[in-house]
Amino acid sequence: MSNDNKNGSFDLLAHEKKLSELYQNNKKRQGEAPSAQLDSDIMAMAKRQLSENSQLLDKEQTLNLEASANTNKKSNTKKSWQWPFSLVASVGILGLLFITQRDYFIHPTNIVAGDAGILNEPVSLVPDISQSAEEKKAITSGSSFDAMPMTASTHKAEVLLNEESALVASKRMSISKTPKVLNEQMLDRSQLEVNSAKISAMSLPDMSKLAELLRQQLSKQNMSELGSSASSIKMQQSLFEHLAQYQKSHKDFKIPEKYLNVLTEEQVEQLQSMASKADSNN
Amino acid sequence: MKQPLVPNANNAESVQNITDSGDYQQQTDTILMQQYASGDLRAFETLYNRHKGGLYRYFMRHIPESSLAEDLYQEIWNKVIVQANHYKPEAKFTTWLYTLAHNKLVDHVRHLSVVNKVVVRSHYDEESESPIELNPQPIHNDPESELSSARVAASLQLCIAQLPQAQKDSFLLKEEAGLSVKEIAMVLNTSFEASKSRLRYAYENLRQCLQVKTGRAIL
Repeated sequence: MSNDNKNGSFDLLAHEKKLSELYQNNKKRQGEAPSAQLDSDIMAMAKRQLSENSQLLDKEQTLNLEASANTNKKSNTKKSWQWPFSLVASVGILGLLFITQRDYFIHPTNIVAGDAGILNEPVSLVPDISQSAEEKKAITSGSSFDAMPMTASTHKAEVLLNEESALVASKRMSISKTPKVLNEQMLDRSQLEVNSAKISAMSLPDMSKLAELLRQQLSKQNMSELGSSASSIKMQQSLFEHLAQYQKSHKDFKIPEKYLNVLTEEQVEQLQSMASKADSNN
Repeated sequence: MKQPLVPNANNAESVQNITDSGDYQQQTDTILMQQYASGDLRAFETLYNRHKGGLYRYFMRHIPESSLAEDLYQEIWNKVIVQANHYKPEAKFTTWLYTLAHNKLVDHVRHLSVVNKVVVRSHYDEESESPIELNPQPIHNDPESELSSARVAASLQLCIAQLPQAQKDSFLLKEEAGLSVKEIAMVLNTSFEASKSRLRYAYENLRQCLQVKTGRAIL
């Protein structure tokens, strides 16, 4: 009966074995056991517990099924909303793009394919003309217009430079992508014109700038074969008046060709006659 | 929430074999318990029939009042039924069953101690390893009745009832549940040596008691 020798020694002694046998024999003979009523009560209890467990299991399974069904329903609803939402978002983005880039979509011909290369060209193209060291020094030192000696070579170079610059500037203006940039450019130009009109006694560098601006304007008009605009006429008139005023105050001043080129023939004749009158008076 | 025990693959296979062959008697207590947890009432019936006598006698030897012993006995089986879903075969089923029974008995005696401290003190003096009081009961001198096994059995029961509580517990766990000394120590939450010592004293006291009651050394 005992198996405790392996774990710790315990062997029944002789009288202990006899006592154990006596107890086991009495137990069998007496047949002491719970009543049948007690047995049936306990078995009924066991059966009831099983049915409760199965009901609990059924409930759990039902709950799990309902939970999984709800999850599937939610995911289906989410999926059904995905594609209309993405469609609306795409349309919105395209509409926004169209509104902001409307001019590009409506007038795509404003951009000439051949003009795209002009963006890579340098703004000031200096022609390869041999210049004397004295001229180079005068140009690089940034001296004023009247201090610069006017030679034939410099004049030729200046004319070429101005033509190239005007060409590049006019092309760039024509391919400006947005009207906003054009407006800004026009605003600056008109602002300069207004300023030049307001100045009562313009200095020689200012007049030089005005003449340059006028020359560019005229060359642009020549390129596009349009008539003279009101702004250029106004600028010519303003330049003429300032030159006349400057000529009066500076009797030694001889008007350079740069100014005469941008004025009308009538204005040039008037200035020359004014100069000759002044000489005769002296 | 009660979670039903899910038998592993090996258990499921063995359970399937039980169902097919109908041979529940050859299965271990653990498998029967797991089979009951999975919904097999016949497995519980087998388990109950296997252990009902020993557990019943365990309570009857401890508690003289049979109705009270039956109540406690029923409570233990109720606990087994309810906890079947949580049963984990970490120890032998018998060890687990008698641990429940022992704890129930201790709770019951504690409850009684409030009512009658004197009785409890006399019955639950676990440190007392002294031999039982051999009260000089009238001994029948009739040789026929003395030799009758019924009388010896009655004397044995009287002697068991007079054992100290700790010795009685150890003896009944050994003889009724068939537990080893190590398992007895687990149930009673004592050391191996203490359990062994209690067993020795129990057998010795019973031998002396029987000798006195029968008037001669029958062992």
